[in-house]
Amino acid sequence: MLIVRNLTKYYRTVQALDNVSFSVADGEIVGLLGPNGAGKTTTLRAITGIIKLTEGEVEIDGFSLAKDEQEVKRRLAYVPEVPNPFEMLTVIEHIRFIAMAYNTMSGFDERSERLLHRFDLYERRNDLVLTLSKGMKQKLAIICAFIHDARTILFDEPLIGIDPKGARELKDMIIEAKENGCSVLISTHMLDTAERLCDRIIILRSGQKIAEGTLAELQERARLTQDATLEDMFLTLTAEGSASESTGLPGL
Amino acid sequence: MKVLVYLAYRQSINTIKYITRSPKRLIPAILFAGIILNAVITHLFLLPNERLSKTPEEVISIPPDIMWTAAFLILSLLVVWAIRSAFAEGLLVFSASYVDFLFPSCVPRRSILLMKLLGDYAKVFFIIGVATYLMIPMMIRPLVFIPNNMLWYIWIPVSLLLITATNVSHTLNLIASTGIQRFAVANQVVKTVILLVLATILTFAGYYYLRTGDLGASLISAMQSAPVKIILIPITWTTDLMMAAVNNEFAPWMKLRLFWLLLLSVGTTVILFLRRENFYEPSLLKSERMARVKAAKAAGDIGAIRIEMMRGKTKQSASRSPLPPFGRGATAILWKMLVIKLRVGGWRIILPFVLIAAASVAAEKFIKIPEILWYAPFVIPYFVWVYLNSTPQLMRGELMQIEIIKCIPDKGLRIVLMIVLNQWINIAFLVIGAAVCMAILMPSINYRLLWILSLACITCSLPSIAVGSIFGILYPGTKDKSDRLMATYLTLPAIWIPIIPTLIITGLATVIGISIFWTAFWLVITNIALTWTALVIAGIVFRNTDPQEG
Repeated sequence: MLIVRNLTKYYRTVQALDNVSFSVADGEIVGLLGPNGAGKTTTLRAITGIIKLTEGEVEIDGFSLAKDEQEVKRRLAYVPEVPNPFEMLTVIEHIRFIAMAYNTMSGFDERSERLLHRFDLYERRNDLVLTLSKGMKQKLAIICAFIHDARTILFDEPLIGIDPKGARELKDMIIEAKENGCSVLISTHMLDTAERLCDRIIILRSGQKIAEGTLAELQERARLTQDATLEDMFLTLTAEGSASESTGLPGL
Repeated sequence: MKVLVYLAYRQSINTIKYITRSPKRLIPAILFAGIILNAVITHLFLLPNERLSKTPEEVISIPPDIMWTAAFLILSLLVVWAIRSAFAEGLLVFSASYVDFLFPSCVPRRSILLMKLLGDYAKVFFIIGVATYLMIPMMIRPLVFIPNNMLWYIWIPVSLLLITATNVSHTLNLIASTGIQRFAVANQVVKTVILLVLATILTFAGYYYLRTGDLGASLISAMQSAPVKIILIPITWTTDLMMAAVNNEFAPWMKLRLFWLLLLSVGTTVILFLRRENFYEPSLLKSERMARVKAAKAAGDIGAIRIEMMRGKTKQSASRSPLPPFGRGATAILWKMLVIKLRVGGWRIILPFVLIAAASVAAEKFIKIPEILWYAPFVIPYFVWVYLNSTPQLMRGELMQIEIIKCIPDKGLRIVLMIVLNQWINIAFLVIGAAVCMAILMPSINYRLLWILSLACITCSLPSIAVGSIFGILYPGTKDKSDRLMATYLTLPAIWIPIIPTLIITGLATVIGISIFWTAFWLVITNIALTWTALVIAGIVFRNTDPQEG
């Protein structure tokens, strides 16, 4: 289970995150939505411990990032928006390297082979990462996220650049991870995917959480009819956020 | 730690395999290795016992205290550079792969830090070693003879000094690494300390100046004063060791000084390694910026490198263009390049002339043999030749924006011409500036030779750039290092094709005594013809090139 409490982040005088709190339960998929510059990537990077929080706390399966960083990271997998794998490793070496880093080498051959087949990279396993296309590198990063036994998986725009088969495979794997009790947090702009995949949605705007809930809850909050899409809700809620900001009224 | 060793090992093995599997990569690698090997064999095994007919004192007349001060100054600047680079790019710069895959992983931060430090230290020892054993003997052999066993007293102390300076900066870096705010403060502290040291030197210099009235002597006395030597004691020790090596005078105190320097570097390393701060965030910001700089460097795009270096450093308004728009079609490329040059150039435009002026004054003051001064104008063609070898890289840099450049509705020849012209303006500007500086500041120079050579360089560089650009277009792959090397290696001999006619014309002009006007006439005619031919070829190659293939 992932718990995020009062995340606040300042870059000099710019506030990137403002008191953001949420949780992702075991076996739950949560979508993190928001316009460009809303603080989605900053939130994910804060959870991974890459950036230091000005205030706030991150907890995974009862372990605090501040106190038990290694334990938290052992349970965490992160797929960045534009992954930059080590280009001078072969595909299989890269996956092995990640498995070694997370100390999960038992059953490596069988697991890696299965994942490589699922993402159509088996034939390329002995090729240098350097020779892979952008989409293939994205697939490799996803395989690396699934190669160790992560309990919480963070995706930053995971579907960008992946072919339809790879996208389908990834969606299936995210659902499998959910069924296996993993907590999954996905930052995305693809609202239709979020609508179909996520149990709950969190909407960020200018570093603030402006809405959180299931699709039905968000529909109600946005005062929209039941056949309204997530896109309608997103646009309504983010527009309300801007309007309240410009009029000085508190957001949702 | 094991996983990081695995990473380093596999990457090294794969790099070797990657190079050896393609002739395009293997040939430049062999050539590069050959050059290094040749230098090693020549300077370490073939030349050590050679002595010159002239003693250093017969060639130059630099008093020992000026030599000491110059060495001290160079080392101080090197230390300042090490401190600044430690803040700008050193310890906290990791590859994008580290940021994406190792920072979020459970590999301990200290293991990552240790691997980085080991790599950095090895790099310092290697670079200083190459400089000491290959470059210094090559550069000063005609002036000073240093036996190989004494070079050890330059290599080790300078390396240890730089490691100590870097360690201190890294420690400050780590202490400040709790967030970007504190990091900026630490950077400011380092700058202030450097300025304080400089102010101390200037205060002493002012004091001596009031007493003696001689500015040069006052600066030397200030740098040799006890307080400055004590404040900068590691630099003082290193300078003493260097000068002992240069003078080939071994003394027992040298080993003790070396020991103290070793102790300092080991001590600062231990202090650094004991720090427990989380350096990921400032590292992330720096790494992303340096990744962009690295990509620009790989492409040889100097404009992009400067833009990256400037990013975030200046709040200059870019709303007003430094140059009014001119021309149409491909000419827009030239306008764009000149605007960028003027916008990011700043002090870099003036610096070469300051250095040339300083070198001219120093040469006039210290060089005793008139023949050397008489032939000093040959420095200009030498530097132009060095510059010409970088022309394919500059072309490759432009090809990074192939999606824009190739879509311009104009002839390939004109597009290449504009890129070539931009580089030619650079050279012409530098040559004219250098010639004027030398003419004014070196009264002993051969003026006729200076003007003929300058004219030859300006006219001959145009076809040479055009020829070099052909190889830049032929090997445009910005991701593949071998493309860069191939372009350079092919340019090296090829630029002699347009240089030879110029050599013949200038040779005849100097020997027979043809007037400057007729020399200029023939140089211009010949080089325009050569430029046109090279541009026609370059234009055809340009239309058929695909940089993505690299």
